Amino acid sequence: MPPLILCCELPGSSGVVAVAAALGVAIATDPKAGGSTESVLRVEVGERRPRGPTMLAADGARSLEQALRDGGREAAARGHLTWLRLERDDAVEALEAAVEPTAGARAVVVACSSAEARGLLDAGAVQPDAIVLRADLPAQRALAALAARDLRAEAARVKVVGRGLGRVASRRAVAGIDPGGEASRRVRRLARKLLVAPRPSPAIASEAGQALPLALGGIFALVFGALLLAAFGGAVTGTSRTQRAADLAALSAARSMRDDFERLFVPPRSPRGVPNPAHLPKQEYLARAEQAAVEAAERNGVASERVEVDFPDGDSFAPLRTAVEVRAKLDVSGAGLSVEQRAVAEAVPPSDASAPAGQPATAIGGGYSGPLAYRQGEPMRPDVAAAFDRMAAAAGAAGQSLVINSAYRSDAEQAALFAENPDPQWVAPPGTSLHRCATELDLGPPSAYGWLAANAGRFGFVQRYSWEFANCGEGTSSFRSGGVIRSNRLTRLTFKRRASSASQKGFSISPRSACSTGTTRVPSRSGAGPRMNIANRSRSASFTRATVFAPSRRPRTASPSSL
Amino acid sequence: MAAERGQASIELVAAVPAILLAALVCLQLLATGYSLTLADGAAEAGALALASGLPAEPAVEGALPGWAGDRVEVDRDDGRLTVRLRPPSPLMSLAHALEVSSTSWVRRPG
Repeated sequence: MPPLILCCELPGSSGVVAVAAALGVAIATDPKAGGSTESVLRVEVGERRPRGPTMLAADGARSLEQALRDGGREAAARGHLTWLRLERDDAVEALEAAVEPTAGARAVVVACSSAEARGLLDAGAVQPDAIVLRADLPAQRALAALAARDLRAEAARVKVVGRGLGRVASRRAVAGIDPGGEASRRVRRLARKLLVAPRPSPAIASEAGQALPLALGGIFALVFGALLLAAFGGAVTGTSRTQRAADLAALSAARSMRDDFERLFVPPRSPRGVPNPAHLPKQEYLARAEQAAVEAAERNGVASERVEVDFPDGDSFAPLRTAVEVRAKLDVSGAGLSVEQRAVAEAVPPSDASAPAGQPATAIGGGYSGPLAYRQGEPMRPDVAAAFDRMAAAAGAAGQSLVINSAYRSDAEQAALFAENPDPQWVAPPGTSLHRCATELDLGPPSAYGWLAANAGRFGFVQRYSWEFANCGEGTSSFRSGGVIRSNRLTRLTFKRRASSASQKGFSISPRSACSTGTTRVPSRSGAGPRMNIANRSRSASFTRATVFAPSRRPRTASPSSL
Repeated sequence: MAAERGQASIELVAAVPAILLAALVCLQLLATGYSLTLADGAAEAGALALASGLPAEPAVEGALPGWAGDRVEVDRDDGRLTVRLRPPSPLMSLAHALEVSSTSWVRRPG
């Protein structure tokens, strides 16, 4: 069906026929209004005078005229239009029948009064696509507004034409030709508004492509989120790898320390004075650990210049802790990120370090609780052993051979001795002997006392008892313990390491290694026991009040000097 | 206008596979990154075991979740330990192509 435009006029106004004709011409000729070679059927309803065909008419108009006349209708081709007249009485039926053969028409324009239009609409004869209301404005503005409001329920578009076309324009329009002038332009604009589809708002112009932004947005969000997570993951991974490099570097250094630990306590020279290749000086021990840390860092992807190795207990005689700090710069999505990671590792000394078979490598039983080094079968602190090694080598060069009679003695061992001879004058009660600190050595033989008195200080030792006490060696035979008579090898000088040496610093790997002698008992000088000679009164109380007169700590031996 | 009604829905339905594909790609990348993190942790765990004189393989397996048990390969060369892990993937060939590895080194005893 071609579009149907119903043109009506309010009572008191005129010119609707001319408006309808001009509208039809505009539709037929204006390309912007969808113009084509097809004719427009102009229908007049009511008792209007018949109109004959014009000399000039469009081919479409002629064809349509012929079709209508074949149907028994009164039609005439006029210019671009085909005129059809319907009687008011049978307008409803006639219009339905007339529209049927107009399928080839470009449009159907019906001109009638408002009353006739209402009749057609109420009868359901037409369903107009648009309605044009001719009213004289502004005189009929109120009535036109009411009518237009009612008519909007019948058609999608309702337009009010407030003034006529003019006499000449009307005659031209009724003849089926363009009215010309301003009237033509006005009617053409009206035709476009009525027939050309209104331009919808951009938001709903078309549904085509509406889902594309959503899809692209979703994909962009996914990719952006993935990139964000990748950058975050890269930073986390880089930081984790930096920390791993620090961990493994510190661990490698600790591993090196543990592997080299025993060599720290090996005597630097053999008894014959030959340098011992198994001995490892502390500086080399630390250097090897640092080298192990740097190597581990490099093999784990960190340049050596970004690695800093420190030994928190480096001042002790046997460091076991390593701190490694790694500074790295991560490239996270083009942004440089500086990372510093630190790791501390601590080696546990091997349980069998330099310990003779059946002897503990770590002091237990009360008092000093760090690692033990053994010299001549006697346990002592490793740094004391190192000092003794140097002193023994010097003594050997001077023709003296030093003998260790007693060194470290735990509180438990002291308790056993005290139980055998519970005389505080000769045996120190448990917890009061400085032998519990593993820094005390009872040395002999008596022939070396003179050399010791002259040279022991060079190696960090302090003489605690006068060597004249050596004369008591035979005298001690009067003291018995468990029926065992002490031999003269039991009376020896006692030396202490200087307080300024490592002996004051303890063993750093365990707080239990701290040795206290606050209750160490010093036998009375006026007693029957050996006289005491405190070598240095400026020393700390733990040393100045201490005296050690200890013989061997072998279970079957006892001594009046087990203090 | 009437002919275009539902066009957006049709386009949305057509875009769903593209969105799903993008999501799968993102998930695969995330799984690969997660696997790299796991491989790093496993390599460090194995290195710690090596430093203690213990076998590295149990430590590596213990540091990985259960699904990675048959997706991991461990190579050891003295103190160097390399953990290769294939990330979860719907395609085995893709998992092989996206295999991640992490290498660590530590000083061994002795």
